[in-house]
Amino acid sequence: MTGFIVLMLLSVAGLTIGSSGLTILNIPELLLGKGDEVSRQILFHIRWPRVLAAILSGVALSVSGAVIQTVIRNPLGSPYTLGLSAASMFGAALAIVLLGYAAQHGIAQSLKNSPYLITLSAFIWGMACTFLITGFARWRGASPETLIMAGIILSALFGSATSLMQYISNDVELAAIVSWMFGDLGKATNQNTLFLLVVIIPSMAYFIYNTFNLSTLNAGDEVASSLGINVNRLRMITVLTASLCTAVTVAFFGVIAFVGLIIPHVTRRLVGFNETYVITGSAIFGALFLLASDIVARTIVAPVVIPVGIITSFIGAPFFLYLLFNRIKKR
Amino acid sequence: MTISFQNIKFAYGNQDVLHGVSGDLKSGRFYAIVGPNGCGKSTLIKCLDNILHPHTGTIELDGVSIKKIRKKELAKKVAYVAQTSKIIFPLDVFSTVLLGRRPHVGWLPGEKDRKLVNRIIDELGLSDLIMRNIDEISGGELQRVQIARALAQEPSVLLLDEPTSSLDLKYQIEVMQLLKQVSENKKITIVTVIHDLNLATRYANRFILMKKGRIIAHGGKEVINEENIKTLYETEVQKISHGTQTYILPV
Repeated sequence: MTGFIVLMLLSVAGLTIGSSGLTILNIPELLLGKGDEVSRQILFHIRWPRVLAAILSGVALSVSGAVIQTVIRNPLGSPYTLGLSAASMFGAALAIVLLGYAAQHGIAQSLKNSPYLITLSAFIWGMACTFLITGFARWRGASPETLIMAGIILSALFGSATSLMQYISNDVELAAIVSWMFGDLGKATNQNTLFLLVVIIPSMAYFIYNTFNLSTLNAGDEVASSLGINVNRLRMITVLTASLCTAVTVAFFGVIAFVGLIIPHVTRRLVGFNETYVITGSAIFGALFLLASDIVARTIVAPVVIPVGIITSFIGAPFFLYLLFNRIKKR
Repeated sequence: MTISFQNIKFAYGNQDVLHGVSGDLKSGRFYAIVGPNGCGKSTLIKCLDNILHPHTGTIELDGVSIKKIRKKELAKKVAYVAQTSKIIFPLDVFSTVLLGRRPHVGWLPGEKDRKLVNRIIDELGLSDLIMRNIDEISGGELQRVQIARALAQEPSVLLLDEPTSSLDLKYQIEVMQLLKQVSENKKITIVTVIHDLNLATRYANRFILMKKGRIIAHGGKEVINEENIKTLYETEVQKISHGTQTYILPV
């Protein structure tokens, strides 16, 4: 309940903080269709999609991280660890370079500035990586270790491929690739947040429906199987669904690091290891964290807005180290 | 409930582990499966619970092939306690035992399930630990929690893979005593893989002796004799009787 209240307060802060002079007092009249057109545009087409994108991305990334950590029984699990972000980054870089090449040679001029092709390519490569990993794991018996190992190998492979794209790109393309690498909620629109919502709702419904099944995996694959769970199927569908949520988020907004990794751990510390609480808690804390990070990103060196991915990395990396050292100390 | 298995063959990759084993496990008895490391004991009980799928052979529960029984239905009849594995995300004791209700519930367990779990926790003397995480309790307590979780399935058959292997003497006796009580009081068939022959003969009443993927002998306490033990472990032993107990000592 407290989480929801804080989320509401942060959402209002997210809607009103900025250089336009829009305040909390203006919101009711704008909601009623009154007020000036500029303020309405700012509220409904810039701030609102951005706040909603922060909430939805926070939910998608953190819940995906939580369920993947559970199904592969590894605290370092997340769609990013499975190579998805590296693959998406390569997809975006490839699209940027190919579109640039096409434009230089007079091919498909109309596509030159199409951000959707870059998004589509990032999404396709991210999901292709997931299918490759799950297919490989299924072939090798779907062990959690296989998934992690395959993820590390594919991350390295796609990282090298992205470096190659950067090497052969020109200055403009290189800038576009680097810019895409930083997760930025400034790319949020009403259309892409709606799309994200359509993907997230059934995915979250699947995770919540399977909370008890996911809990059985904590007892090990053999015990889960003896409890009537089809372990391989549950693991595969969960990884694919979590990857879908993450791939859509990454394709629209870029790589927002650490949310999927640290939020589930923070949640477990606060609510324990019961999957029902871990999943719902991760959703709330993930939304809060990304919303707060985005407000910081917009205000810390205002009027310059820095990509939220940089903020989450700055907060996430030291915090994760703290968790790690604290755990070692506890042992 | 009778488990009947006929001509079970299983291999991990190219390595044959079970070479056509057959037998019947009758209702309410306490079976101990003994034999040297790698002889296929654990593989056999995993096949019996459909965790591993034999390449050939049939396994039947009261005459019905387990292949025809849905996983969830099978889980209501047969429970399995694995060897202690590494705990990554430790649930509390109550939540761990509650997992045993999985085959009986739709989405989430209800009040009836919680009451049953509380009763089992109480019966097994785990009430003081109910909110403790399972990585904060002793090996013996953890083994009791695993058995409680299996009992929450309300099974007719309980399969255990070396439940005493990592325990000190006190907890070994405690766990075996508990299994004997379960067998006698709840009329649940117990099938446990165990290395300690003295513990096995003290608590179990039926024995299956395995070597190199085959059953070399099965029956009552009489099959635990010097000759069979020598065949199993290629070690000379002496059987000593003390009161009603028999003890196996290496010579």
